[in-house]
Amino acid sequence: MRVRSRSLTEKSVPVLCGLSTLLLLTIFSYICYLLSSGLEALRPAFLFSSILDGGILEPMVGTFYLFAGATAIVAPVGTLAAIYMVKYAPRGRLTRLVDAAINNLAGVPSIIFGIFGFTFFCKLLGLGICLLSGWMTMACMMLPIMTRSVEEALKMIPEHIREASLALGATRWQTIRHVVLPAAVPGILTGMVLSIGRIAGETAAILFTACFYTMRGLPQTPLDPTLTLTYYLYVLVLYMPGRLEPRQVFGLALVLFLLTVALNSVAFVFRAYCRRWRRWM
Amino acid sequence: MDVKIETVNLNVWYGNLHVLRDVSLKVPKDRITAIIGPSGCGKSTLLKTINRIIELVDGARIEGKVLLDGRNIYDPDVDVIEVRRRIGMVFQKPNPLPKSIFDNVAYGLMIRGVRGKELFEHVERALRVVGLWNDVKDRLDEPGFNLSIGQQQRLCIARAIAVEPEVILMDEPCSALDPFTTRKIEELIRMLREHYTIIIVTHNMQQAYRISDYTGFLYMGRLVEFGPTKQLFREPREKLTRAYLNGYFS
Repeated sequence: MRVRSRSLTEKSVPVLCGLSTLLLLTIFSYICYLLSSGLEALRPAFLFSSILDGGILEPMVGTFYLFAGATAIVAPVGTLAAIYMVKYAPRGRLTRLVDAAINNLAGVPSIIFGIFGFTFFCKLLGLGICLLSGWMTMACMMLPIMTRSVEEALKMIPEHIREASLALGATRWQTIRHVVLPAAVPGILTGMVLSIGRIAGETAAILFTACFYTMRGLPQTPLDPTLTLTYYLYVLVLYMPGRLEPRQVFGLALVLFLLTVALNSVAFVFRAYCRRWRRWM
Repeated sequence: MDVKIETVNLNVWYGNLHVLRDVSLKVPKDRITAIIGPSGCGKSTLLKTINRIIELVDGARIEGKVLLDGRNIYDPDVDVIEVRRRIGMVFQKPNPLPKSIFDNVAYGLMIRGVRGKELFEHVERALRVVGLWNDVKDRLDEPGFNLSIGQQQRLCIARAIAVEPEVILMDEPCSALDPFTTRKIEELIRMLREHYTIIIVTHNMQQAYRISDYTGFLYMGRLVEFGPTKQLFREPREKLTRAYLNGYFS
């Protein structure tokens, strides 16, 4: 009896696993189908004309601005924070507290970041709803992931590499600058990719901080509001159904998807290139 | 005999662990001094106190003096960076920096502001001294890791001598190498002896005998015996030294 039930388990597990995989495959292929239905919408006339003429130029450029700006803020801040945490901070209660804070921050829902950004950057600092507020709100969201992955990269660098540099009479900062940081470049890039991944589909965090639907052309300065693909999609679906054809809406989603994939691939290729210097492991 | 480095009543603790006990040692100038002893006797620690790399170890505490040309390198007004320029180090496992072959050797000079033609000349000379120049001159921009393990150790020695130190500390520099490469590195060390004071830590007694001029035997953190190598190996004064040399413990 027992033998038979065991053989039943043995048989049912692969079936269950197979079914789960099938489910994944189905979802994935349906997403592909939806996105591909947007494929025919991808024409220069759609991509590069203003939203006033039924195009998506402003949201596309706005998304790029937002990603680029937020990444440009978070990359150095996150890297420096990680260097401090790993190389300078004394191990103690305070560092553990900061560690815990970083971990928890990574799990905070994005709408809360949105509210924080709105009250802090837009109101308290008086920046208003603009690109800059959006960048900083996004950067706050990205910071935990960025810091974590750079920290991991720094910890992977073997002690003997640092010793070699210090034994040659390099100062602590010279060692970090010339040896530790270059070796951590792949980790920094990974951090950038992952943190862009965190904000790629973000709508909630920029809803009250960076975006207006009624806007005049592209943002001219960081103090202008912007439009993004996610936000535009949200507005289109919720408030103005029928403004664009369905295939165009999927086209817009496809652009968002491709943009993220492109960013990921660039970082991936660059990281692979950097890896050839990391053969000590 | 000129004394280059002298330790006076040197004591080192790692937390509560007392690893060096009253070590007083006089290292002769432009000679090779070997430090032998069983694993865990404090050889590497002794070496690390001489260029103050020990200060990187969490919880390490040092008492006593290390005199370089009569000056205590642990005095508060001594610049540790300058100490490490004058006292180079070669590690147990070849540890090239994650940089090109050229940059590995150039690094110590670059951080001191040496640039351009002068930098290149220094790098070339250092690589020639260690006998690596002809092998690598056409691929100076390849990563240091691309070299064989023996070549990597030569590279590390080149890196150490490029900044023109007065003393070179070597922490079992051949323990990761095969016998043939070990021979080659030993020849190189013998050759370097003309210009540098070398302190080499080894648990290979034959190696100490082959290459060193003076030998110190360290046991449980104490310097049991120190003297000219031939004398120490042939007629050790201490029973403990004799027992160790005869292989009664290791």
